[in-house]
Amino acid sequence: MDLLKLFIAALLVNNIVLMRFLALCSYVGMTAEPGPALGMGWAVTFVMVLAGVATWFLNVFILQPLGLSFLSTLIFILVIASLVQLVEIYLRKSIPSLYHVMGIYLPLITTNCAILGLTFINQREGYTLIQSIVNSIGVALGYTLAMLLLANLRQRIKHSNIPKFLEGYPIVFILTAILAVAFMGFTGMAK
Amino acid sequence: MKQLWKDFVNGIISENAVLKLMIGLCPVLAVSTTVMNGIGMGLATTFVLLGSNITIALIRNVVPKEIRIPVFIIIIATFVTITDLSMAAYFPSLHKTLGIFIPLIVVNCIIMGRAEAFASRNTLIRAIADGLGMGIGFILTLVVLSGVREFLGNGTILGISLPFKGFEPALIMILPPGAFFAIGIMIAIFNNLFKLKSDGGHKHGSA
Amino acid sequence: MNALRLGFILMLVGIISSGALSYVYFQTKPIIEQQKDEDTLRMLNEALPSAKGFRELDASEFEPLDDSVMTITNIYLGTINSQKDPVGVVLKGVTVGYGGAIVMLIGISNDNRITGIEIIEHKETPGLGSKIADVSFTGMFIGKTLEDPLTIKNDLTAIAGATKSSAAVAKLVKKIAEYVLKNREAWK
Repeated sequence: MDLLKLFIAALLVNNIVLMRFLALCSYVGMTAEPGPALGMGWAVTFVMVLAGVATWFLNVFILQPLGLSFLSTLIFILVIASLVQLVEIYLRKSIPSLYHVMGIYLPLITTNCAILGLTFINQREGYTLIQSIVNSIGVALGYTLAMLLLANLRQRIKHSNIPKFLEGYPIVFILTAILAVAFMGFTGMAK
Repeated sequence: MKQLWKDFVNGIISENAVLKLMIGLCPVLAVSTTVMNGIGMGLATTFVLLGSNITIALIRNVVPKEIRIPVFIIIIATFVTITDLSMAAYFPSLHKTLGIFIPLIVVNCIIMGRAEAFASRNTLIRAIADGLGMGIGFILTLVVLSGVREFLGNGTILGISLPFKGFEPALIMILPPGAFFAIGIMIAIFNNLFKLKSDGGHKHGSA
Repeated sequence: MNALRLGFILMLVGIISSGALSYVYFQTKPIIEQQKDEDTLRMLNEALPSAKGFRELDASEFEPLDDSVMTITNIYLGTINSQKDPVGVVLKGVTVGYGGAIVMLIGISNDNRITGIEIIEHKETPGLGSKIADVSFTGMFIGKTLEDPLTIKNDLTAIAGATKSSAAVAKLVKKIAEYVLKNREAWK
């Protein structure tokens, strides 16, 4: 039950993009079409869960016992960067079909602040391994959801008459503002 | 001298990281609820940017090409952690409000972007000019956005209430939707003011 | 051979960086800890202004609070001269509000009156629930006795638009009031 609450909170209530303002670069950059948005979503989900698990072990078994928490930023970003490299190599060699779907998005992920942000959130909230995994999945699917919502909205307005003043990125942010209003409705649902 | 001035101004208007290049958006939207937070975030980012630009320009000829990126990441993460620890020591309340957005400076694309595109290819002095320009462009964006949001959402600027009769703050401006709304309008005004064409709807940006 | 050289350079950069960070860490550590201590003392003092110093009770020295949502994490006895009888007590309690955990301090004097409330942490909606940390809200509790009803609509007013946040705080205060009435003799 608590895990379900945690999941809902990560997915909707504290949606990583719309409520926590993370991963905005890829959110505005990759949502012109639903296809790439979804591919990016899967790639992020994959790496996020792996990073959540890897950093949990590092944090609990190395950083905290040795009092090296001040190195977390340095170590977490290096872990994520190497993880992305490994996943890319592994997928290209072993599962080409999956590589086809998300491979080209992988290099963009190292600087995706949602992944590093998630590892910090897990660390600061002091989650257990299970909680970290649930939280990682929730956050990742929340990211994918936000990406898909925006990509589809952008499809809809493609042929609409947008005020010239707002053409391009401005209208994307106005759409996001409306999405965020909708997501505010989830506040208080789960903590 | 003229070149240096060009490098400096470049970051403020024609290549303003947030408003033109759409990078470094996350901290800008997240912390712009009050002007104080905006200034704090802006200064912290500028410090890291300058530090990494200087270090990278200094060692640019020594670092082998193949391990360029990991070396840059380590350098940036080091400056970020120094900033994080110093802020915790000397500005504890600001450090607490900015929370995870201080360590997240490490993935602020502005810093990696400038390291890769500018500092690793230019002389020290030009890298400093570039870092200062980009940093000031970032701070200005943050100050304007947080000023608008703090005033409209809370009726104050830097915590001081402004005496406007009958003005009722619209809370939504300091909530997440207000951030997106304000930055959208701000980009539109910026683009129209400087006649820059934004190509958001038609091209894939980079992450 | 080249890979070895690259690995070596990378390791060197890593060592230099960790060295620099360790230096900064040990330089800032005492300052950060001092800041934290001062911060705690300042907040304890705001909750119980009459005390000069505080002595924290060991977890073994007090009964846990019997509740599924609310907990008491720390109890501090306020003193004027460190060895003398306490002039009051400050309890640190945690509850769940509208947006997440609310952590607060409640100061109670020896004559069972609330001397102050300090909200340390909360995740309530900015501009609405966040007002639970304002003096206009916490001030309402000051001077009330532990036997008072301490409920919204009774002797307290909720913040407009933030009934749940206000009620969560009031409930925790009431719970702690009852707890202190029951257990206070044990700490004297």
